[in-house]
Amino acid sequence: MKPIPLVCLFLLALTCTKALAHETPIALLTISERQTGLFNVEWTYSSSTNQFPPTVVFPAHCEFDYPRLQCGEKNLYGTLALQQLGERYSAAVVQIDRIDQQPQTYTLTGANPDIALNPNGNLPITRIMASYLPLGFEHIMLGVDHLLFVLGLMWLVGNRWMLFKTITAFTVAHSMTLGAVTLGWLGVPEKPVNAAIALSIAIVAVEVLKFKRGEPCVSARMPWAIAFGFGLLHGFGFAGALTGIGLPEANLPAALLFFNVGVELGQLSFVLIVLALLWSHRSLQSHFPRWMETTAIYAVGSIGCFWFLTRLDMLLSPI
Amino acid sequence: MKRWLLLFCLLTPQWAHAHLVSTRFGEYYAGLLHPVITLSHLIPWLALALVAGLQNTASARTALPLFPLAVLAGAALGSTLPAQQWIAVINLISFLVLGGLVLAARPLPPRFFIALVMATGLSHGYANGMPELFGQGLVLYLAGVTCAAYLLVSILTAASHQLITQRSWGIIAVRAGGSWIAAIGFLYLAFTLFVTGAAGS
Repeated sequence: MKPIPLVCLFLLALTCTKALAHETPIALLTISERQTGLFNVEWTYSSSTNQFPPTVVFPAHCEFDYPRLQCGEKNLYGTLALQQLGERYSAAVVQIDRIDQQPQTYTLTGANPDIALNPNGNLPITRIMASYLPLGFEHIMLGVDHLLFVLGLMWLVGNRWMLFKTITAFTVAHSMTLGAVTLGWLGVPEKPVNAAIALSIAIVAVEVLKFKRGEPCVSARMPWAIAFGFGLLHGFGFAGALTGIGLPEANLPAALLFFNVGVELGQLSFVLIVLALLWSHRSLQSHFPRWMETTAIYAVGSIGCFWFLTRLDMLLSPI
Repeated sequence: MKRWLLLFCLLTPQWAHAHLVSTRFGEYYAGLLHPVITLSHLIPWLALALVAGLQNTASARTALPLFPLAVLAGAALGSTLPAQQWIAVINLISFLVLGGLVLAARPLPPRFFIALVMATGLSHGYANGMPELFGQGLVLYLAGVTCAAYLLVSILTAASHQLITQRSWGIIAVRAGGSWIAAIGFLYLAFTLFVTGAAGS
């Protein structure tokens, strides 16, 4: 290895303090009916920044003294709102378990912090879109591991048509596994998936290095194949985030669709920004020195290896 | 259009203290979004890219590494040293200087252009400093601000350079843009100095 990449790796190792899978901080508010009009309220939340859950504002006719909620004859119908939601959590899931009814689940976000509760429990499609599309976009934007993998794929690709095929293959593959897991057809534990996603970044970085050195590699000839194969894996990762959010059973297909559309929009934005940067350098005849490109590939591979090892450690170490 | 832009500028008089855009998305995105959604930074950076686009290709591409590095140095200083009101005034003056240079549409001597890029990067970087952050949060925030400077100036410089060199009407459009930027800067500066009096306090 050349000295400059080695120095960069060293600096990288000094600055890498965490290798946890990126989180979408979610809080769960469970409201269970004990008697008609009398509910028990419970928060379940976890966030790496130890944020308190949002403040709940119940309909005006309800009296709330945590954990007891008394709504009387009018029952829990009307507007329920969560204050400071976007500042503290990506989303909050409100699960209402009424006597003699199927449990109802609603996902509230910073942009949609309130919900009108009515006896039929149905949600308009615009409401589902407004909740799940930003969540998908946010998940990919905070998911540096997915973005680094896409960046690696772009490095492997020689022309625009191949780039289109590769990104499409990645999209189709992760949509398949995301759908299959969310609909309950497949189930994969989250920790091994996260470790394998990290390893996929390192593998792509090795392939890019081989490609740049002119060594024969299958992935450079058929980058769409590697994109499809590892795309299936990344879909499991997306599904982990989506199932963590909690899905309304009645609106499951729409929620899945809009979450996936959000992911694709985020991915497309990233690809377009990278392409715009490449175009700007090309049109100004600004070329990176070769060592800089090699260093960047080594850096991506090193981050992938580092995440893989730490996630493997989390997988193997007893809790 | 100009009046709406002016009104918008007057309603968003961000001063020397930068503000965290979104803490939930993390400090990197806070740094990335801060200059992009703050017009007092975005418009002069756009003007600088237009000035760069007016230079020859060799000169224009020097802005690509220099501007983000100058912004990084400025933001690092602004995050460790106390906020200075005069930096905000200099940043407002940069509206006029850069807008005027776009309007003039003249190639600059390479050394003067480099000095201009460095000075703009340092002063706007300083105003993007975040003294409330430290450690890993500060590193991520600075990385975000630097990436924003790199993305904006690279893409806009290339776009303006292409426009000027490949479209006959390109230079007219760029000069018109420069006049708007200078006018916005003049009104913004006058409002700040004589109406709010913030610069003197």
